[in-house]
Amino acid sequence: MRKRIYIIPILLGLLLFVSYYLNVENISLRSIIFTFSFGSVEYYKPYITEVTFGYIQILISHFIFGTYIYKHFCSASVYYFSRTKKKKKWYYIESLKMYLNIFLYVLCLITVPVLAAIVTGKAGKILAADILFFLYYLVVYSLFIFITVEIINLLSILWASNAGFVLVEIICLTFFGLYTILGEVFDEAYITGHSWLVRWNPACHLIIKIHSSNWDFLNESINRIFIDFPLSESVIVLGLAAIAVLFAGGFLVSHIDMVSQNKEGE
Amino acid sequence: MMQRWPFILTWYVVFGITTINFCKNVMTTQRQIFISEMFDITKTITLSDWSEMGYFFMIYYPILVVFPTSYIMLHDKDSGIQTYLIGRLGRKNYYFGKLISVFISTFIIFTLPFIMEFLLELVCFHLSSNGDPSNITYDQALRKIEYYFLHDLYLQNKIVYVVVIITIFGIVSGIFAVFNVALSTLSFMKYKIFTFVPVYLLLYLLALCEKNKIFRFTTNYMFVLRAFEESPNKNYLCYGAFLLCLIIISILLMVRKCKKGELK
Repeated sequence: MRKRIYIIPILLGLLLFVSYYLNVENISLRSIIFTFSFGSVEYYKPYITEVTFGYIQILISHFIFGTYIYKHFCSASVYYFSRTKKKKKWYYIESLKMYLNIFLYVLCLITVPVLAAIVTGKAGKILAADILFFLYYLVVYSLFIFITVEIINLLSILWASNAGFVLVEIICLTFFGLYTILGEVFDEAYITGHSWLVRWNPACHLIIKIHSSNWDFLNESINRIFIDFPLSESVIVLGLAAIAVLFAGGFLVSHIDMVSQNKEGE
Repeated sequence: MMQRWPFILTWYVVFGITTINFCKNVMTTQRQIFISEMFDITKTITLSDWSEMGYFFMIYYPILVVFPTSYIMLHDKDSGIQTYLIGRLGRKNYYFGKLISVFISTFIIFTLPFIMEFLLELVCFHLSSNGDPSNITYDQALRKIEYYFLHDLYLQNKIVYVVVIITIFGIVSGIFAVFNVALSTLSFMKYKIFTFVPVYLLLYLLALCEKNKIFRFTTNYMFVLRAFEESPNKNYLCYGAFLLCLIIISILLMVRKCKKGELK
């Protein structure tokens, strides 16, 4: 992966910092993290515009990493894989490298606005909760992006890069759309009583503000819709999903016919 | 181009959304006994600001608008048909012919399903129903009409108004698709996946301009492209100028592409 690709998350981080915090003083670290994690999205229709603002970080990651594994299957794939002894092992190593790259992408994205706040003297006091939210953001977002990017790559290998990309984007946006329409269909008390409506929506794992925690110093900043949705649950669910996608990919890659590859021209 | 699966898939998606919206309108209207209770049929179409399906449609719009045609140039180049067609038609005819065919096919996808839905609504619902989906009083609803795009036409004839709105929506979609295809001729567009992002980024940056108050009017496509949107901060002259700029950029990119391949 070319190093210059990381200019994109750095620029995006700066752009979002300028958009949200140029005229704000005393910025807390957690407010930056909440802004970057769909903090302003609520379960009502008008908030859909906020989804498009938050979703750009995920869309650009799909754009950057959407061909990370797939590109090896396009040009000269037969030659390339004739030199790779174990295709499955190669795939797992590439996936691990991709995860590390995604982690760096997310790190650049969130660190730039934090550093910008510190450099401009606008940053408030950094508390333990801020650090925990920061780490949580890194883990959850890198896992979510990894899962979606892996699916895009695998679907691209099966069909073509356009099919994988569009399918994943439509599914992701549908889940966000379903969350933002929740308040129009059910009343608040019903949603609070039926937390599965939120917990079973994959997009909701990305909205830190609607999670809950057993630790009061964390819980007081989040749990906006008063449901039992622990932060740890998202990490476990996304972690398990990432492992499942990884093994499914391993199975697919080992059974793919190299000769009939390169679907870009079809 | 219209026989390719992305075109057919997008057609079914748009058609599906309009069909669901129509079925939802039927379910809503069948519960109402008096015509005075029924909503204005023009305000329940998918492109209306009051339609929930239209709201979902707008989330997908930046991707759907480019999906059927975005990588047509890449496809022609990779399959080798580009060389054959350029040899037969000439560079200029080939590239500008592509732009025109992209515009027409996108226009069809983003116009016909909405026209069909509106025709069905005309047949099934009562034309004299005047209810406003916001449930505000008739007097208040009348005062909000002045914020609609082309409100004079709406007051003259509602049916013509809807047809015009759908046609404009199709033209705008066509311009976005043409711009995207023109950008896809740039050298860094190696994979099909890359061709989906320009329009999304463009619409995103415009929406961000509104957030930062760079412009005094709304630049978020969700507020501009939907009919019966009531926010007063709109500047249709600027939107028109912006679309004209997109057309000019597309033409310039194509001229550049034509000249690049010519022998001196």
